[in-house]
Amino acid sequence: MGYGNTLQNALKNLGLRAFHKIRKQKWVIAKIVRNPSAMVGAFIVALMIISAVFAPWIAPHDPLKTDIEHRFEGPSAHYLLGTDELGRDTLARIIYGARTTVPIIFGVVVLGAAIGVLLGILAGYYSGTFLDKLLLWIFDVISTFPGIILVLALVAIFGSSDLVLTLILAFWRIPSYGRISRTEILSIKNETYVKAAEALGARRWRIILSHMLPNSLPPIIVLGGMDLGVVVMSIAGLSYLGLGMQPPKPSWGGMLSIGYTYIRQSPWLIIWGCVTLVIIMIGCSLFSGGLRASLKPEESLSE
Amino acid sequence: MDKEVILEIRNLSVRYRTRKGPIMPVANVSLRVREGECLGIAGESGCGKSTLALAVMKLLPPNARISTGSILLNGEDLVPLSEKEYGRRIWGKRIIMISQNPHDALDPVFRVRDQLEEILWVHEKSQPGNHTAQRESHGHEIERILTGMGIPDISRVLGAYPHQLSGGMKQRILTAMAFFCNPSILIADEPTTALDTTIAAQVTEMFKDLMKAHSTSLVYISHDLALLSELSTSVAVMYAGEIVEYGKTADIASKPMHPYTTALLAALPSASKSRLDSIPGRVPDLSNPTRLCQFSPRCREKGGWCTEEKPELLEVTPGHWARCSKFLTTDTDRSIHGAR
Amino acid sequence: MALVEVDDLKIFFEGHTGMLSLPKAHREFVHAVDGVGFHIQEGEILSLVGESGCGKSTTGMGILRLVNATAGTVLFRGENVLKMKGRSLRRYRRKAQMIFQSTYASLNPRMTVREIVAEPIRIHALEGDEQRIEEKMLEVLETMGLRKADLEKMPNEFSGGQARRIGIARALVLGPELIVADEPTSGLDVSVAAGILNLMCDLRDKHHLTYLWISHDLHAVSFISDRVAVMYLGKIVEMARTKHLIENLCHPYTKALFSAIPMLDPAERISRIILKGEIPSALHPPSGCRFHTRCSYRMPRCSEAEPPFKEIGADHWVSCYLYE
Repeated sequence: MGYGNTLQNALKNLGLRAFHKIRKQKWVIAKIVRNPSAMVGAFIVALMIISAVFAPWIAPHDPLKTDIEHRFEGPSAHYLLGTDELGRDTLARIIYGARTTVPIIFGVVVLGAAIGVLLGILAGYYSGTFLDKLLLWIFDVISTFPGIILVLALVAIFGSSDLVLTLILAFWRIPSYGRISRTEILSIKNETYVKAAEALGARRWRIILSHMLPNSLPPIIVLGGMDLGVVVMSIAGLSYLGLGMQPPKPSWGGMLSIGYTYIRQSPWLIIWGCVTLVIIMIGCSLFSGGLRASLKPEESLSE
Repeated sequence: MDKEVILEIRNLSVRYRTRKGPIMPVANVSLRVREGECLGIAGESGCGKSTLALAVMKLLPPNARISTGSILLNGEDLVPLSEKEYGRRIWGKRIIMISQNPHDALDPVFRVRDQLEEILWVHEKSQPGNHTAQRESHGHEIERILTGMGIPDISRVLGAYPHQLSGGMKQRILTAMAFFCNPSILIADEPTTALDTTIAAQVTEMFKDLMKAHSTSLVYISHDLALLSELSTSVAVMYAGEIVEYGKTADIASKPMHPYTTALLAALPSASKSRLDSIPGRVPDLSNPTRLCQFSPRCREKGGWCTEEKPELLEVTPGHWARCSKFLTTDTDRSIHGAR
Repeated sequence: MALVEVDDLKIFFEGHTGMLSLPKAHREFVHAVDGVGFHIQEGEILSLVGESGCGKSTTGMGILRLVNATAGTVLFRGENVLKMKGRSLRRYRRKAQMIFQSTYASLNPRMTVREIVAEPIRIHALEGDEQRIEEKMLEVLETMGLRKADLEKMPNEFSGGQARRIGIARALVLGPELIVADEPTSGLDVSVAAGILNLMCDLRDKHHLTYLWISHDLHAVSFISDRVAVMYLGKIVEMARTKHLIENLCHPYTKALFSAIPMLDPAERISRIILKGEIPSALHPPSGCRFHTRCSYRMPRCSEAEPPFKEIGADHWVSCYLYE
């Protein structure tokens, strides 16, 4: 009886807190909506995600179905963007390419950011100590190693399954997030509101989680947005080298590679491959730019 | 015998374009400064006093412009002049402004001596007569001026870079130089607000000495009525872009007429008071100027007359003007303004 | 027993900050607070006044354990605050709060007013039920003249005076006994400052508060405080009951300071004493009496040894050889 009541109360309290937290975000969303280039970016990113999730329903053809009679065709009514070297529909392969690539890039960014930010916060909070110096050294080591070589070596050891690819690329991205969040923490440490929280009696973890972390996130989020595009390019590069996705899985990088090989037979492959990657990069860049502008609390809705 | 009017501002209004629409931080302001006189402009933040100064200096930001009115300096209207004209004839020569933040007025990469020499050199070039070719020869004159003002350790001060000097020191140097350039009019925008009490007193005393020695006409902007009562002969009180009261400083301090001035004086803390009168409400939104009295929503002395029309600035007693309907007592006034 | 008893408080900061620390002999310290002592009785308002660099803000922060004190004791109801740790320190924090000088900086720009004012309640787990937390917050906000709709807003949406009230609300929600107010009226318009002054008086009466009022605004100080302590370069040079002090300025610095305030009423003006020179550096304070370099009453002994802080009248303390 008592437990039921307490549980009910606890849930109610949780619900109220969640409600207020969500209500707080509306001004971020509203500002994105007001910004045209951010909307374009958001649209492209959304398109990427939708393609990834709903590929089987959106793609006009089976990406693996070959049609040898119609290979190297240009855009037509049947095959909207043309076909590749085995007669497979290019558009379908692009859409399914999202399905294979998008989970990885989000995985990379989320994992890399989570670990990087955690380490960065530790380094920043304990700056000047041995821990800080150690972490910085680790960041330096990871980042000065030429990225491709590092990845090549790791792929050679661990193989190139999706999971391994994600972990390797995340590992490669950790220093960027780590350094940025460390720098942010260093400056936030001296802010008056942190002192104020201390004056209220807040403990260390609360100060870090409630005050330092949220205020250090904007550059991280912006970096994350840009990183989505950067990681796409890295995977494309790896696939180009034959180390990323293996055929017959559709991959954007793979398409570039094949397209380059068969450029005489049909320029369309490489054209569509490039166009796709360019649009993705622009979209991610615009979206992250829009996020940066909208995460500033200086101007707000009620003005 | 009235002294000559050096600066006359007639019906000046400034309009700003903002995202929310146009706002008028200065609305229909008229002022006169006579030779050798110090006019104080008092008001709280947002009343338009700084914008007024910027308008006279032609330093308004790009989204602002003078929409109506004229600024007459020795009879010449400055409003139609271009920035280039101002550069040639006005800035640093006929009008000099001392602003609140001395750190902004000096270039951080040049020594103080070089900058002061440049001030004198530019100023001299604008005067008729024989000019010394060298900029450096002004060094002696600068030392003379500053020593005369009681600034210690001259060689260290002049040889220093601006960041090596304190705010008070910089403000004193700039003030001395400003007066010695003998402009037609000097505008001081809250020069002591950012300074410590005793340092501010040093600068204020310096102002007094320089005013006596040079008989420069001065417009002194401040939110501190007590300070203005020490320096200025007359005061204009501004609220929401308008002048609401104008007169001799002593009169306004002892017998304020406009309810805003009265409220402002009642809000000043002092040892003898046990409770202060704070003014309820907030400064009006300038994007929505009313045709009624701007202060009426917050006014303690509101009467039936306040709902009719915006009152004009009336000379209630000789030399003492107030913009308030309660002074519309004569029948003729009533019929003009429709007050009850 | 006084609510707060400060004795010989010293707060020094490292003068040299860099990658490598200097050997002990060469270390320099900024003597921000150099041997300050005073009592604050319960329900009293004591002001610390002085110009920039005199150490008044640092003293306030030291009392609240927001900076590390180098030496001395601070007793709160008999317990030494400087030695508290863990739970006892957290308990102290509930009883002694601060209102910060830079209001907007002291409010997390990404938190709503709701989160800001609820934070102290959550930190000390004073209330578990969300409903009751909200009620408590609304109660405090109403005292401040703020409304329920303000809960969802961010600090930057408020005017300076309102933001200051949010800061006060946050401090009050814990039901403290002592409030250290650091420049509560600075940067505010006269009318807004008057509102804050009235509010602070009302709160003092209603909640039996005690204030350490840190300010350079001598008009506000003479209005609100019961006692005043004048600080110069890390030391208190004079301390007395406010009304008494204004009539009986003793220390040369106090005289210069009070003479420097612009007065509206010419009858209240005292002849101005203009100090020579600038405030010396706190890194290398002058020997003997800190003020002797700028004092027109300087005697040879002033540069040799510091004058003792003595009671020369009824609760009137001065540190000056003129009054030996």
